[in-house]
Amino acid sequence: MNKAQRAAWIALLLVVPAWAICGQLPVLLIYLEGPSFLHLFSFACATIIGGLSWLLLLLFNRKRKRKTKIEFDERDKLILIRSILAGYVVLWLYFIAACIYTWLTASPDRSISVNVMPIVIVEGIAVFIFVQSVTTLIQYERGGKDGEK
Amino acid sequence: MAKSNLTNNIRKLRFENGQMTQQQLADKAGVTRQTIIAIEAGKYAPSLPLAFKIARTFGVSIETVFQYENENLSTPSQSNSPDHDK
Repeated sequence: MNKAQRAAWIALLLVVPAWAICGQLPVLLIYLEGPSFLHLFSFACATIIGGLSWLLLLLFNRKRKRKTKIEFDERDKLILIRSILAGYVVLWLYFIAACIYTWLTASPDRSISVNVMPIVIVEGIAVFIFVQSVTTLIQYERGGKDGEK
Repeated sequence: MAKSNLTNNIRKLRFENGQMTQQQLADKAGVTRQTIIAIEAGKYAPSLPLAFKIARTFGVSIETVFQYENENLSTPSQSNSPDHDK
């Protein structure tokens, strides 16, 4: 299992659930109980921590970087590009579906709650990370364990 | 759609070159071992620069390492033959 596969598993098992729960919970609380400082603060914290997790991963990888061994080559780059592309495609489909669903389920006076916006954004990020991780793992799994059959 | 296949002799050439391991070949070609495994299994078609690097590692021509088979493609000798123009 290489670095990209490890990162995909971590994203799939930890980042996506953490992002979905931590990001979604304050939004749901605001939706149910109305806005309060605590709810808004926790939403801001979840968004900032989620947004900066890439930087933490970058710093962690830089620390562990070994110059002698090649860990990323043209195949890894191709897999990364394909998985990001798949993530973007699904993200756009999700966004369109979310917009249509929201429009269809609008209240009788044809108004849409503003609480829908952060929910769509947070879930959109979770969907993107999920699809990117799954497609990365699928592309590596074609080669079996450690790429060997 | 035309059926095409990229086959290779990497495994054979590795054993002919002092039983070179996949890791040794990967280090010489500047890629990961997983990539060599994928190329050997025919699951990944390498880029042209990488194909040249692998061929030069073995000291042979690129066509000795990789063979491309396509039903719709004819060899230059076939396309230049007088029958082809008729």
